[in-house]
Amino acid sequence: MNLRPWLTGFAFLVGYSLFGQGSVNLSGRVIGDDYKPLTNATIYVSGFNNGVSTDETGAFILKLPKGMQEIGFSYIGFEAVKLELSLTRDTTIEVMLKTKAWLNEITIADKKVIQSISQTSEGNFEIQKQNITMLPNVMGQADPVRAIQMLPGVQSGNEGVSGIFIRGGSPDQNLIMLDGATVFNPSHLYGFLSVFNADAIGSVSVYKNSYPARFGGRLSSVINLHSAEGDTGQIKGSASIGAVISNLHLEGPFKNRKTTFTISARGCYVGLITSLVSHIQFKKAGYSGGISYYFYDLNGGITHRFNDKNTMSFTFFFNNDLYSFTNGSSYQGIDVNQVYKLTRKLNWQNAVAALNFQSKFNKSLSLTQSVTFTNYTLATDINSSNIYKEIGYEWDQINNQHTVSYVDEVSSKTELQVKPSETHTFRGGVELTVRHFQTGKGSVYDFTTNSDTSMSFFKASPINAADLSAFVEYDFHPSEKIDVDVGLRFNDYWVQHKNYTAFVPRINAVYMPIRFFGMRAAFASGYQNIHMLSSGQTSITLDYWLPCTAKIAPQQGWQLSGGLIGKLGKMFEWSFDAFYKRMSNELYFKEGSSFGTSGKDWESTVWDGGKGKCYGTEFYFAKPIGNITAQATYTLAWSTLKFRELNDGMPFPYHYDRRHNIALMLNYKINKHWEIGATWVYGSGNMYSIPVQYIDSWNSVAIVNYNKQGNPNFKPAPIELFTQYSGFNSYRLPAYHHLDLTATHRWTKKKTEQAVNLTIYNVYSRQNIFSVFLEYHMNNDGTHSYLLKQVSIFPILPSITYTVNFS
Amino acid sequence: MVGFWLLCLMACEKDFKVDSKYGQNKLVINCLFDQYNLMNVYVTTSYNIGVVGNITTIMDARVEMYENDSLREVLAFHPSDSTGNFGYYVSTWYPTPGNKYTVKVITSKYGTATATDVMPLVASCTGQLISYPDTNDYTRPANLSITVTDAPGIDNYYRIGTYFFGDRMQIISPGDSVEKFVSGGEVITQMEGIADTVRESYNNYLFTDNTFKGSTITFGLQSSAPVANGLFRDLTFGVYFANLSKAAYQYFTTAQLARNTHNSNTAEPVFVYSNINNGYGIFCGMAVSGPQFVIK
Repeated sequence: MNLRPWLTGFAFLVGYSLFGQGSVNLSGRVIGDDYKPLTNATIYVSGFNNGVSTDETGAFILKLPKGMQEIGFSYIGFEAVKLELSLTRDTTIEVMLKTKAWLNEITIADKKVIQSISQTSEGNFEIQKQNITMLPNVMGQADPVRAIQMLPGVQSGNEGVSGIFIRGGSPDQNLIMLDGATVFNPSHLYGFLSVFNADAIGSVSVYKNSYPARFGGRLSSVINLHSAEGDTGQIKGSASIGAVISNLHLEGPFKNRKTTFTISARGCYVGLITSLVSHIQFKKAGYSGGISYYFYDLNGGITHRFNDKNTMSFTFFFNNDLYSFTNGSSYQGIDVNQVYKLTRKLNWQNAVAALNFQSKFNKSLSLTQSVTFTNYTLATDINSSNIYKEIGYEWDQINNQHTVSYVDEVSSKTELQVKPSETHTFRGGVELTVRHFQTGKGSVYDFTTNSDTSMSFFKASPINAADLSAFVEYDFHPSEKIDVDVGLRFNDYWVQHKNYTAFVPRINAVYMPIRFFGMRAAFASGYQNIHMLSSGQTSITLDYWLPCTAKIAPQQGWQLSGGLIGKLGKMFEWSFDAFYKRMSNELYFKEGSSFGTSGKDWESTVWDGGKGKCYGTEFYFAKPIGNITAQATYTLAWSTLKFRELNDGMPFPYHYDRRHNIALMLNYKINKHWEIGATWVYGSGNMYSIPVQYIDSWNSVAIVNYNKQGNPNFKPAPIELFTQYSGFNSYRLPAYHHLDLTATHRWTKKKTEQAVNLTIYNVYSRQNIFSVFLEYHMNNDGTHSYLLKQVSIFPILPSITYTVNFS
Repeated sequence: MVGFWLLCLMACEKDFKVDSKYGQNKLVINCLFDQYNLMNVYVTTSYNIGVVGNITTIMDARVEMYENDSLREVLAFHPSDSTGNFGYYVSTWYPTPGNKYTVKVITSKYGTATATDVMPLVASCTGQLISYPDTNDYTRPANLSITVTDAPGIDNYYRIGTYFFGDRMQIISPGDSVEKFVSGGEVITQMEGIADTVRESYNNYLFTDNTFKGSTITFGLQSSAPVANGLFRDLTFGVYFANLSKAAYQYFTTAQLARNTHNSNTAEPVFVYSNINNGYGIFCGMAVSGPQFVIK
């Protein structure tokens, strides 16, 4: 096959050195046509079962025999390149791959089966920008987290539940980072849309089998998002306008082209619609008020390449979400006027900044240093007023409560990588993280006519905590058939004059006896010095990040996993994995407790010392290349918790015990103008404690009479009704599923690329559960009833977005 | 498009249908017994969530009461009366502290439900009345010093409250009055010296012997109290002290938790304790004691 049409890259020799008598080193960098480095690009050599992949900076090194060699370079979403090089000495090259023209045929992806696709041989995933944008979007927004949720073993929350759920673990057990900085709440709209703007994200790495020792502090997984670097060629950008969300993105170089920038902004004004609709609904019910929701986020970054060896980047991210509920009623009588008003506001925000410095001293030694800052703030306001007026008399009652909780995190990390040859890679480093927690502070204002006005302030004692970690990794890669990664991480955690230490080993092994088939096994242990408490009720959740304390020990856990991976022909790939995970020192709210509004004494509202167990299997089948791409994943999993104090000490299902999860994705590039796609996701319902019956109770609590002899004489007390539950977390809510369709039309006009995207979310308008709540009714005739109500917030949602890319 | 959105966002709330496998109504048995009262067993049924209901006593059940595993009596049904008391099944004898009791309720429609509990022994509870309200300071609480001796070798659970009774002059019309027996519970306003108290809505406190197992403890107690003035011929102020079975303690504490969180949509669910097999409700015993003080 003639490779020349696909040979759109260019190579140039920049250095020579003599190496050995029979072999030479070929090193270099692989970049895209936007000059950005391509991570995990595949480099293979024809005639040899040999190949490597690029690192985070796009760099690679290969040891090859002297002489003429045909070397291929490939990367998903880009056209592959083959170069014929006459190697007589150590050689360094830079290869540029061009964004794939979809009608072209991929011809060399089978040369290095595993690493040419998005799933790595270790069972982790690399998601590129192309993978993100080809999925049906939501409200006109491509979403990196939606791409993650299509992976095996990954579950989305039901509507109204934020976060990502991986292999039965809770959302807080995933370390979500943007350029190395922790992001505590990744959700807009309670999980409907993530806070990550696809324009600003270059790639996403998802580690769930065995995450490297350089990462720590969470039990389930690591999700590492990398900001996109600015274009080095020209200033360009895009703008899009949607029904409820609009975007603006700009990127490009500064004068010297060594420095590039990106900036992206996004605003959501769905509140204009929701406030109007809810106002109409409230008015029908005889109330005033409404529900509104707004958010905006801002991403930016500057990257400066001092030279080929030294790069510095600074990225930042900020989002602000505001939910507001207002409900009011009034009574107008003869000479009497009464007005009641209740307002609840919920506001949350992430602020993230990361400074990264990368140095390559030589071919085998590199250093990465980073300093990051993160803030997550959650604020609530509850204001109520009751104004009563009649002629000559006025009675007012006003109550305002304001509460803020937040966590600040500052982290510094230094990482050294030594790669003496392609067979051995060593990595080591230290990381120091300091966190400051304010679990609740605020004020309460009370005013009642003819009573004292009070204004009180409260503030929970702040908690400071520090994590010091050191890690070492060794990657042994003697041949294409074998790859073994071993790591050890040590953590020392200080909080409230108490010290916790943890050694967590990790090992990951891959064996590929033949080209199209391999097997893998991994063991990973972890620790977690931070908790997120969420209400177990199915109403709107509030997520509070809390530290492990002198009283509440860090979470510990380990996971054993293994699987098979392979390829069918040139176009299809598959994998099967099984996992078993144990966790300890889990937290759970006590019966009847809640976090409250003050954030004080939260430790007394939880049981600690719980044990968790998750196990299951995952299937993955995909056609990742061609005009038609498709992916299917299925996860079968169990997840239980066990607390001495709950459910009589017996295990009970975790909220996130989803038995079945299916994700299907199909995308078809019809021609250079049209692209269509569809996704369908299905998940078993979450597990909850649901009241299924109610009963009466009397004569059992009140002591209302004594006889003349002084003996108690029990008489029936007023009837009490108690609800009876199905069992502890034993009720599975209805399954969550929806089908989404998308179509995009692109065209070029006056040097601009323009596109219109139409997406229909939840095509068959499945009423997935957002919240379930109980209503009690006491009727005038003495009868009564409890009613369970469900609320669904996202029925069929069409959205249309117009985007223009300019340069 | 916006108009379509408006339509879509409407009518997203609807009734939640509970899985039919949880829809079977069961017998509800409520019986709390002590050594001073005949055993009253209330038998009703549960209702499905979403069903409008009214508490209805089951009058045709066969209610067998066993004492120490021997059938003591098939309880007779006492119908509801005009004062609003509900119908119940009643024994002709008083239960004895230390004995084991089993109730077996047999119905044709709802099957058979059973429950067993052991009535605890009477616990030693003495006290001193340190101060009491008087007409000069009627807002002053009653102050008591209470001494409890905990039985060794077992876990004990207690409930404490205060009460009064006596003959009180009732003014019917100007210049005309009559003596009438009155009684009632009082409000404990403070407990000092006990660690793990749970306050009930009905003004009692629950606690365990966790901090004084097998030993004697003395603690302070403050309570509201009626003033002994000229209207009372006799006024007795007393401390109600009950040694609870574990089932009674679990029921009282979880029921109180359910009361505290009623109608809260942010609190975790509360599972009110039940020891009824094939049914709901509670069947539990307690042994009542406590000092009394005659107020002049």
